[in-house]
Amino acid sequence: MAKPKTDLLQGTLDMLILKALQLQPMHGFGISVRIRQFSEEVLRVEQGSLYPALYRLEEQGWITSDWGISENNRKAKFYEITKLGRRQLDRETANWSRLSLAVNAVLGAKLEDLA
Amino acid sequence: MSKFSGWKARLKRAVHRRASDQHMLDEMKDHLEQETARRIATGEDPATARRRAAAAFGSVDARTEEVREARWGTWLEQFWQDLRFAARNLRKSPGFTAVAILTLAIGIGANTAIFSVVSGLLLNPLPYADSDRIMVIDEAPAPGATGGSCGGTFLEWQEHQIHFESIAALHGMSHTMTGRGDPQMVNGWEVTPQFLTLFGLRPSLGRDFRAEDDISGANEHIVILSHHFWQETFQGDPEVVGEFVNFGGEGYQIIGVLEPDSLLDPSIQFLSPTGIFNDAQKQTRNYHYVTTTFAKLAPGATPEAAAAQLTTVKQSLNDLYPDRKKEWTVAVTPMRESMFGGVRQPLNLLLWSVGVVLLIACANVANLLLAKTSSRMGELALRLALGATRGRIIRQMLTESLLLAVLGGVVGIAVAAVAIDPLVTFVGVNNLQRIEIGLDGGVLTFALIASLLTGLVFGLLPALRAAGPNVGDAIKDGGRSGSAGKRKRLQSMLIIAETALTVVLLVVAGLLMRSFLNAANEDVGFKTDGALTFRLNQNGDTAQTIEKRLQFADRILTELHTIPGVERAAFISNMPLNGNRFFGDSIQRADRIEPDNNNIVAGFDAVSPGYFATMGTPLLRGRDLTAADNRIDGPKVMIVNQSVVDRFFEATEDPIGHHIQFKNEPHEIIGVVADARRFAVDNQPFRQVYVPLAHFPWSTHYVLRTQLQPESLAAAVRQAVQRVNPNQPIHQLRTLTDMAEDTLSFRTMMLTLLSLFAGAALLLACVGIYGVMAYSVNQRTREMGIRLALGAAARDVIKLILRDGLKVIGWGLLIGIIGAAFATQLLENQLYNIEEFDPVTFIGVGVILLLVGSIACFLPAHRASKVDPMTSLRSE
Repeated sequence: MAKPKTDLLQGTLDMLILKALQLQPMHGFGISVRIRQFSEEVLRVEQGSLYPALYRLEEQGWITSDWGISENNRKAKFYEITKLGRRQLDRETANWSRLSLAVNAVLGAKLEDLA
Repeated sequence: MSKFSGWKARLKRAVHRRASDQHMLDEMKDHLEQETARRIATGEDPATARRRAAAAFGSVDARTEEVREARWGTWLEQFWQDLRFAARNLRKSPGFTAVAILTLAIGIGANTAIFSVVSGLLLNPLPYADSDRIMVIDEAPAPGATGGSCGGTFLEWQEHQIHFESIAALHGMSHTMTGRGDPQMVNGWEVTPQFLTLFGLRPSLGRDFRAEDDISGANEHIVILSHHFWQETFQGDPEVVGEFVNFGGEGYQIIGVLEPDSLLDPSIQFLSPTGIFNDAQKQTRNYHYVTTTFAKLAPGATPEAAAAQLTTVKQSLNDLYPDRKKEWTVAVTPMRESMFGGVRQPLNLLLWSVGVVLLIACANVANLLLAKTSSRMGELALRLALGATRGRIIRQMLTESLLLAVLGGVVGIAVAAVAIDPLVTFVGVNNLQRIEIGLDGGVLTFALIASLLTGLVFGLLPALRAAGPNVGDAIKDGGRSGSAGKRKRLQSMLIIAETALTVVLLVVAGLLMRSFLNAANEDVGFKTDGALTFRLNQNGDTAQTIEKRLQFADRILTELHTIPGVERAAFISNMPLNGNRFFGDSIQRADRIEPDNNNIVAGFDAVSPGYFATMGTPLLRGRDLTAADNRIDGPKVMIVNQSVVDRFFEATEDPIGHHIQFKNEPHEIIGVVADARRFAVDNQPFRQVYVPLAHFPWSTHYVLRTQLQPESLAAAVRQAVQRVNPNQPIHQLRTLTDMAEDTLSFRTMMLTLLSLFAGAALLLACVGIYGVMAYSVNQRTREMGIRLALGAAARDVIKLILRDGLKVIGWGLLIGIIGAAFATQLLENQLYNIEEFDPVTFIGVGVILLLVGSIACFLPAHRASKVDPMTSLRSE
């Protein structure tokens, strides 16, 4: 896997995970299912890269983990977003919006200019 | 569901690293299973489902590796950050850094230097192959005592031993070498054939001794030269093997040359065969041929088993032993123990003392750090507010401490490098060849570990303090109030601790010093100035019969008396105060013999008539020996010392005329003399009996009394001896004063070092007290200003500060005295004529400490009283 692609994906993956956890705590598999639901199967992310991302997010204090019982009665690690994490999510979402507005503006302007 | 707060969780994860790795693996496995199950639920067959799930997941190993690297990378990154920050901080306060590093350097350096001696002598294996298996075998007069060996016992051991793979003996010998320039004395060892192989040594030229060289009829006159002697005398001539050299009038053929620095004793110049089988006298179990016996244990054998076996053999051959040795056993001691065991206790004492000094230095640096941290409270609180975790802050502060400690350690190693050589010379172990005392790997490791531990010890407290402030308060007052009380308590506790340690060290040094002075001033039982002494070893044709020995001694005395300036001359088997050479045996009252009682031992010496007058030892009763008593077939007479009389006779009895059973014969007591010190000045006087030379002519030390400077007679003495026998070497020619001092020289050395350390501790403690007091006064400037403004006199302010300071010192003194009381228990056998709780010492130390501590407190207090109330109230 080419490095740059992974880097870009890293930041995006982090946001996706935080978004997935925004409503309720979940375990790793559940997060991956939820992400797939969000992206309507468009984003093809290696499921395995979820776990380094979860580790990283926990180190940064954006999520916390604890052990619990999953739906099929297995012991599983549940992740929960923290206050710090919500703030980060808001910040990044705001950034994205601004970025996409700007890109749209640029793209839009280009088309109009050419017209 | 519970939440872990950030740093605690991280700590937990760090501690359970392997567990958390395992958890992640489990999680990923679980994920795969659930994904597989999901695919099966949507209709795929199990095998395809599993494969597709794995493909979709990606490589488990790669992910795990990714996490591991991230973890390592973060740690490294943070450590590097901490290090750079710590270095910058240290640079910002150069004064503090310099003082701290210097303090630590002295502490760590001193410890490293002392440890290098301990390591070189006591810890490192001796520089011979399999040195832990090399033993010394001794005859043991009593359990724990060692009495050397002799030709006869060596042969017995050699023949009957089963636990050793090799055994050898050596006998010290000196000759006069002639034919190569001026006659000179050469020192060497007569050794049995296995000697070199036992130590794994080989000649660099020529050959080793063979078994054939030491059997009956073999040529004894062969010699192996030491490397140094070969260089000096033969200029390293490679053709020297086969040449002859003249020792004591006999031609010895050189058969080999040793490699450089082979033997521990650099003064040994040659090795030659013992010739035991050529001389019946050397084979007796008596003192004719005194040896030191070495033996190498076979793999798996133990010294205890060997000792037991040889003792059993000895007991089965008891009839062959002289009576006084009937009860003796055999002792097997590891060589290093035999050589350096005696030095272990003093060295340990030094090591502990210097460790105490380091602890005190740590306390000082900790105090410094606490003060410095207090002033950084604002900065720290800000960092915490901005999101740094407490753990991170602790880690960063510890890094700073460790950096300080390691820098101190590096400088300390430099200090040690300079101090080791003088230390070794001072301790008196600089005349050992082949044993390295220096900064080897072990010592450097010790220095590193000591530095790191030191950093932890003084850094932990301030680091924990730094991470715990109340954010709001700290930012408000710039970090001065609130936590100040706790900091003050911590600083006070540190001062109490270092004061207590100083007290212990001072008491120990003080007790030893007083003990030493007591010993030095003690009456030794004879006059030490104005006398010269020397030893003559008799060998060759002067010593074959007792008659010859007596004649020789007589002639020497006659010659000595002809020297102008010599008032008296005499001899004795072993000089008193000689350190440790003595002959002893059991004695009893002849009229009250208990057949099985061998427990009352006395030292014995052969003396010439006039010995006591020469030494200035008073004759208390009866008469001295005369020439008439000195006959081989004469009646057995002896002179005893007061300790013997005290032991065996009532105060009302006159011992003269009574008999003492000695060596299985009754000896008539003809005189009583005052006690003279046997071993060192600080040992108790021992029972001693004196017999004429005819009964024990095996060793002679001569002493002469003069009004002139004793050294000035040295040349005349040599000439006198040479007139009797031109080839007779003279040993240990020195004044009696020097001899007496020599026995104290080790003590002097120990005491000097100990006093040095105690002094350093006192200095450090005072600096510490001063520093903390000055700092606390500084912090209380505003308070002092208020008091002064409200009408307090300067004197009151001083009293206030002094009281605070003395309270702390007082506690330290109290705890220190209690600690010292325990510590001195361990000193018991080193104290001469002084109890462990000697009040003078304890009180003296207390006074010194209070005095010095008061001065250290007074200076800042004085400064506080000079504070201008207006300025202090206005400033912040």
